[in-house]
Amino acid sequence: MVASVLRCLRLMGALLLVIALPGHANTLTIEEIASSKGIKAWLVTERSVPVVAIRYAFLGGALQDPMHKEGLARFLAATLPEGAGDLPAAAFKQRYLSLGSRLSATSSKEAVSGVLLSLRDQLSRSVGLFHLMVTSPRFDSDAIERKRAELLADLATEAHAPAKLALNRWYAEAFAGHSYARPQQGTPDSIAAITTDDVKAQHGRLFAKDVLRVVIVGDIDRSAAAEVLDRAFGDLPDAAQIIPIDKIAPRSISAPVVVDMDQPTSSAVFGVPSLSADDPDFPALQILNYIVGSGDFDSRLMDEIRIKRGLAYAINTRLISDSLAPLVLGEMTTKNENMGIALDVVREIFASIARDGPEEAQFETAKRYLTGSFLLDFDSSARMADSLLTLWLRDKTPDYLTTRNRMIDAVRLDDVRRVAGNLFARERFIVAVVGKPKLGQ
Amino acid sequence: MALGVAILGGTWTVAEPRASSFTLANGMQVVVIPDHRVPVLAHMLWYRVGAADDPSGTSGIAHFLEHLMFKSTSTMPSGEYAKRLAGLGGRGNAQTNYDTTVYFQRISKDNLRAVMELEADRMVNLKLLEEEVRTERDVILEERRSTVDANATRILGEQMQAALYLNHPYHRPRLGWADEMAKLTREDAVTFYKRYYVPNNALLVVVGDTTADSVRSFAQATYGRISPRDSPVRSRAVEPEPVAARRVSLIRAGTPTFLRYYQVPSRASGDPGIGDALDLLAQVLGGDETSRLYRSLVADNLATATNCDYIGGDRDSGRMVLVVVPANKTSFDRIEAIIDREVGDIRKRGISQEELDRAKTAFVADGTFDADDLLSLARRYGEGLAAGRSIEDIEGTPERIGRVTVDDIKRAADQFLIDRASVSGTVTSPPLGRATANDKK
Repeated sequence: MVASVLRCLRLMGALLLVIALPGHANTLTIEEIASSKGIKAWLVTERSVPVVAIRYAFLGGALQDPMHKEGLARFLAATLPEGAGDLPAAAFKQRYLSLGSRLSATSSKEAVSGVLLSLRDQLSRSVGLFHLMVTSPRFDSDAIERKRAELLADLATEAHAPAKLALNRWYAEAFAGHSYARPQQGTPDSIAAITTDDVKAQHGRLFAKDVLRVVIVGDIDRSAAAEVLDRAFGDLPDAAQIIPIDKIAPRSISAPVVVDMDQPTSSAVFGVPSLSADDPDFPALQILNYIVGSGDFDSRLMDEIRIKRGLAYAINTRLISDSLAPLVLGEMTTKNENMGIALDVVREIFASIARDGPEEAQFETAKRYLTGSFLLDFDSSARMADSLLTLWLRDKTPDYLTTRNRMIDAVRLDDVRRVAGNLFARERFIVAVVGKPKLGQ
Repeated sequence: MALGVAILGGTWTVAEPRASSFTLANGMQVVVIPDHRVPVLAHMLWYRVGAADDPSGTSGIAHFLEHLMFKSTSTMPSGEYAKRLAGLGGRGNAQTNYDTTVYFQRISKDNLRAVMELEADRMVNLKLLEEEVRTERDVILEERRSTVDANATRILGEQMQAALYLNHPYHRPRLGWADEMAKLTREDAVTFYKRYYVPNNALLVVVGDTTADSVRSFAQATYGRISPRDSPVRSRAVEPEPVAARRVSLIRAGTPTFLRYYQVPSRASGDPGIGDALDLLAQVLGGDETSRLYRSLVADNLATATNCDYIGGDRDSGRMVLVVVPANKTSFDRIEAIIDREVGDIRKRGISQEELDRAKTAFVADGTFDADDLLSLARRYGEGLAAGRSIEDIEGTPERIGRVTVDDIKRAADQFLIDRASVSGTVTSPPLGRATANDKK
């Protein structure tokens, strides 16, 4: 029946997907809409809270930063809400804050993204300002200099944050020589070197219709949403100027890379290359990741490192689903004298799962958790918009919501064992540590 | 239900959830806020005990017990709680505040009763084995090392809090002081648990796709079976009238930062309407990028970040917290002079009607965006009720905010933002940049 609904609505230029939540009268309706100027979006009409959330992403991001201009995407995102059209920064902020609206922009390696949160009754005026911000940001020199100072201050702060430094160092080592190795937040030198023209040029290159993905959730119907899309994004150029970037796998480094920092604790980032989100084994990897390190208090790492040994307060792993370099990354902080022991335990957990696979009971709990908790990603308008955009950025379609739990359920224990055996080979394990760690050997 | 709030001449309809409340026979209070958008619930159990109730010499025990609540009970081995919750597809955590300790989960609506069974089990059946206590004590010390000791601004905040309250137990860090944490024993935990973890000292808040009737029947069948015991009496040291401004200066590698705390009434401890005026005052002073501090410090390139927050949720007292990260060449003296000028100006001349209107808009919009999230909504009610406020008082906030006048703001500033009730503090890096990162393989 869903299939016939899909067909019928495609003819109308919109695709409607009604997702019945198992065992409930509630349904979640995701529409794929296209405006007259060709802007596509996913829409969820949710009437009970008088709010509209517009989540957007322009693909590109920090990977498109020119050499020696690392941090440009971040600079662009930071300066975007600093005045637009005829309105300099102070006047622009005064306008949208007076409407009760929230505008934000941020950057990642693969996208510049953000959100407009508006009260329903102020949506029209909010979208007017949002349109100005997206299509004609001013990038006045005083705003540029203010943000430069802020970004440099952030870098100075990060220089004292061992977990952040360890993550940067991990990427720098694992992807040496590739764009992925470059720090997306920039360096003091690269931030100092970025000019107003650089920011303007990057905005011109990256903000275009063909790399735009939008999710709208809130108190708004299809035709109003299509109008909003045209008003907000309709004036953008059709095509972005994106420099193609090759896929890359992390290189192998056997010994931990240590960055010396004089303090009582060390922070470690550890990880291995992983599978992309479209890999048929991805559902098995999700189960594996839960078992190893993403289950709050129920993961092997949490059990062995924190609960049994009291070695760290927090330890976890997560799946980085960047399209060019998917990873399983983990992190922990412990006092310097314990870091060597803790890393040995972590290595042994990865090795034993690679060798023997997970236990049957853990495997079953992981499946029940992943399927049972999936709805939690959709329990508020803001979270729903986030979750849907994340899925779209992984090139999923809305029907993923109906197939996802079935794919998790279909995974067999052997699949997880096979994936663990392939991914968690000892020689692929890369570690970066910041602090004064006491390491074995 | 909808509530009209008149702002800027117009009226917004703000969906304002309405809570219902009842008390079980054993004295446990239950609050239910229905929200039927998605078949998901937030379940949040509040104990009216927190870090300010740590007996003298055992600072950190409330927080330590929060950790130990995840250990074995007479019906479940250690780790079983996490496995069961995961098997239900639930996510959860816990938090220790000054006056409360909170355990919360997000789950699908079908699993409400199962989560109540888990939570009720550990209200009475916790074993507190010697071995569990010993290992977990290492974890809380590790938590302190990795979250506080590694962050200069957090250390400064602790020192200022200690200086702000000379006698009231709010002067203690919520995690405790490290030397006392290291000496916490099983007996300390058992005594604390037996005294405070009783149904008549607990408050349950459930938000989501349910009704008061089903929450009542599940709660009776689970929590309702636990017998009440003596209600713990809180006797807290009284804070004397502040007579002298205090200064704290921390030399530590980290972001140079200026903080100013004022001791002010909390929403619960102040006269009616004081909390509302202080909320709006904080917004005008440093709430967003149209605020006084932002305009006089960041917009003029003297600082890279400013903020002002009213911390008004505690039972006995509140705090106004001002944060400034100076730009490179700005001295702390200059920052402080500007803060004093802005505070003095509001105390003497008050604020403009436009500033007040914008602050009200921001406040109501924040509340609306916040109500989108089940846990935020549960927290709003739980925090207020646990501090001694009524549901009517909590739900009447938007209406009262609408009635606040510019004179109310001026009066609140003049009465409470006074030097002798303040602490000023700075983080300054040691000379020669001792803790910089050096590469070493």
